[in-house]
Amino acid sequence: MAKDNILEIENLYVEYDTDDGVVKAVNGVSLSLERGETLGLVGETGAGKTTIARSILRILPVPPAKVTQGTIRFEGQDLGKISEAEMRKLRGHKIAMIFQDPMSALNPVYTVGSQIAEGIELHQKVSKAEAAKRAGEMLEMVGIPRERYTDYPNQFSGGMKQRAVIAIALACNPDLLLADEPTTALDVTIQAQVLELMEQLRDKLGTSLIMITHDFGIVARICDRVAVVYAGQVMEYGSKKDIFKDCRHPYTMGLFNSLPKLDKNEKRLKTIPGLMPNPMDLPKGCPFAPRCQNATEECMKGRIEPKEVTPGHFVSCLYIPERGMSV
Amino acid sequence: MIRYIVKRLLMLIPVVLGVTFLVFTLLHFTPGDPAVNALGATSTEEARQAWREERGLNDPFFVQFANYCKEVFLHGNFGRSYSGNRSISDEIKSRLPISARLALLAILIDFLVGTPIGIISAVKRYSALDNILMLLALFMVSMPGFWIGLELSIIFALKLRLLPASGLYGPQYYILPVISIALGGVSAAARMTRSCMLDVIGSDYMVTARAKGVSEKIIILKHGLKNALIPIITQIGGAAAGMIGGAMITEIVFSIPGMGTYMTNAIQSRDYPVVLGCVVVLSFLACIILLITDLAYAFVDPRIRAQFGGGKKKSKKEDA
Amino acid sequence: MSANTMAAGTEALPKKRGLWQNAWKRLKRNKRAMVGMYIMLAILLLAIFAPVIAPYGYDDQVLTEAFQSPSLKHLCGTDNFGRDVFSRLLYGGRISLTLGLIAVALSTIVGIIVGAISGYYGGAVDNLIMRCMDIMQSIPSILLAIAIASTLGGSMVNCMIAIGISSVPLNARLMRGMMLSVRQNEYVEAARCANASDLRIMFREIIPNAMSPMIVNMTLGYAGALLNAAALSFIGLGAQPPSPEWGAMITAGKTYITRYPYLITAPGVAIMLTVISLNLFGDGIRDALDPKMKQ
Repeated sequence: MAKDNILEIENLYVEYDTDDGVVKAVNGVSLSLERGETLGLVGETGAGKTTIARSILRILPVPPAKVTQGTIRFEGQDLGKISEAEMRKLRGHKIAMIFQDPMSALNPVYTVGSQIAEGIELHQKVSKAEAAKRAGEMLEMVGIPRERYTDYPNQFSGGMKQRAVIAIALACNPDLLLADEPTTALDVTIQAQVLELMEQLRDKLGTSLIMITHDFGIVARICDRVAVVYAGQVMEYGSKKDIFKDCRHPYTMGLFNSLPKLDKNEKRLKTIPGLMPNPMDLPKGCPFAPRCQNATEECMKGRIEPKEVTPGHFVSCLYIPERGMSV
Repeated sequence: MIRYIVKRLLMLIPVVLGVTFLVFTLLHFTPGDPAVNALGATSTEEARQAWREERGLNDPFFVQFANYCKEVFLHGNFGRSYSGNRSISDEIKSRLPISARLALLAILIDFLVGTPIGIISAVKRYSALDNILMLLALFMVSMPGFWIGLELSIIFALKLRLLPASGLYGPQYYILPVISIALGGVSAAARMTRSCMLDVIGSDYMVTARAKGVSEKIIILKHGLKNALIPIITQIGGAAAGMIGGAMITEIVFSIPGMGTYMTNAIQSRDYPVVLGCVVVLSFLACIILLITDLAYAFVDPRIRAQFGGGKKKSKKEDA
Repeated sequence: MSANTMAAGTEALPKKRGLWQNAWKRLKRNKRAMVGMYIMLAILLLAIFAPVIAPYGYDDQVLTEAFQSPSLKHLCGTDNFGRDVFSRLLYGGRISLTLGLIAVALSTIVGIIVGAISGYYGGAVDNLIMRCMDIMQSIPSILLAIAIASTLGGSMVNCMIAIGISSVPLNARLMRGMMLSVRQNEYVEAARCANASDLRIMFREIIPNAMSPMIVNMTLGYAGALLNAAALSFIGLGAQPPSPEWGAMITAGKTYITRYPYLITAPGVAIMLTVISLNLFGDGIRDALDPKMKQ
């Protein structure tokens, strides 16, 4: 491996075994992330983005979730092979996660400060007082006055809660940060603030970041590389420029076409016809084929392997157009 | 916090008055002439009239109720029994401590034994241990408490001759009654704790804690339990208050000279002032347990505290 | 009725049917619930066909055969009057089960009415009703039942009324809560906008939705009613001794506990089995109807 990859995911499969059947959430995802880079995971709700992030941290609910295949390597170490105790040392220390819903991600019966300090105390082997001091600094870093340390989550507004969640994630200065739709639950104005904060902190601390989102605006703003995920598979993967200026996969194009354009006076949003396939009953071939205009018999036959169209730009499609679409 | 306690105490007053009113009204409209009951069928009409006059039974209903409340709340006087004309307050004074001791011991056991069992079951959910514990709990909650008492006394007093089965002459006399009162409660507490813990185990902040690298044991005992305690306390408190009723019936099984025996005898001899006094006192006890529950609840849950806490923190929220 | 109301009404229908079907599917998969259901059915059939199944009449006294231990001839032995305990249990089942059912029906119906009025009208009405419920609830239910039963006098009918009334607050509160949450649903708004009358909204839209927790409450309440009825019988406020009601049988057997413990064990086990089956089934229904379990 020539590049300094902090994270490599190879051929990952995750299933949920539910009462109604087996839900295939992630189906053969391979990704890599260079140190200091930001990777955007883009896709609709239910595409398996969160599952990918949680399987990196090994915090999937087991059962019903199960990683059936694949390896995840963090700094060269196979996360599937290390013990739970070793994994715990990585969690919150080297790899941290920001959760989607700040309203429920904080424990309502402990002070916000103590929840930030908990990770510091655990990983940096410092005294309670020292951990509290650093947690106070973290609060200030995310723009919350230190005096709010002893407040409970119910005394925080939504935006402040998300800042607190970010502070918890960054408390031990992790090498890799997984941000799971960190702004989805927030108001538009607060979204911008939180995003700006994350961008600043990432640049300041040099953290590698995986940004899970369904918002291309966020991708355009902070990501270096983008993976477009659909029904648990990566449809298209490349640099931001590859995706925005030269996108080749019909699904990615569909997504872009469905964005409202400010310069055109459109009456209706263009949508991709059809619905995401039922994850309990995925089509055998390309999962997007049932909704794809270009699909043929061939698309339904078997798994479609990604092809490298330009260096570093992978597309999983049988009929890749010669020239891509630009937004 | 103090404001909350005061508020809850003030809220107790209408409830206590309401309870007294409800039970007073119920027993007031009992068919039959109390004078005939008290003096016997052979008594003269004059004697009955004099007896009614003496007890104020000829007064209008609301006057009677007001007088009763005045006596009970200002003087702690529950009146005199129909049969024997004895002071009910004196009887209650000597019997209440016994009943309260039994009930409180049982409640303590419920909490100390039932809650840990529920936690273990929730953490090891769907395991063999969980299945066995929950099956046992199911059996225990499905038996009438007094029947458990009877069966226990058959086994431990009659067959094995290990423990005494009636009376109250020393610590060993408490064992069987307390167990038979507590068994149902322990099982109920275990079942409630398990379901509350399961709800909590699936919540987002547990995942947050896991993502921080906190160990599973601390996640359960620190992050999980404190949250689960909120519904657990409410439910166990409610169940404990309800258990006071069951304890009264168990007292009869073991011939314990407590409130339950007193009340049952009074029911059988239609001595309504005694029944009234007992139900009112026991309901007070239940209200106090519910009050303690509410306070414990506020102690655990900062959201409740914030609602009733000082203005300092509220103003902070406003400028946020 | 305008077309809009119709649309709002029918829109809610398929969802409801789906809910019940799914619930039944989940219930069938729940082994415990099924075991509970089969025990319950068995007990019910035994009670219904008691005259056919019972080897003896419940009141056939054969004084020469008093206090016989359980044997093939008398499965659960005989009591002090030489009556066959097993036959009495079967007949007693009819009484106990009916008693519990009527008590639960009473408390559910009164609870629904009180709770619906409270939740629907809100304001002062709601406040007054709920404060009354608070007061009733702060008296332990068995004590309230004792107070009611001793006012009415000890008998089967009064025992049902006492138990039924004492558990009204629980149902009323549940119904009121459901009313409040369902009231905010959009389809009720829609019905109201289409000028549907209050009564119509109440019956067409809200009550069917509030039904599922009500059913759970009824099953678990049935179990509680059986236990309370036994307790009332035990202190002489329920069915009176010659009756083969299970609680009354325990009370009657208590006198002979030292020498013939099977006299109280048999009816106790009958109560326990019935209550267990109801609890299993009730828990199962609750899980099946709980949307959280769908994941």
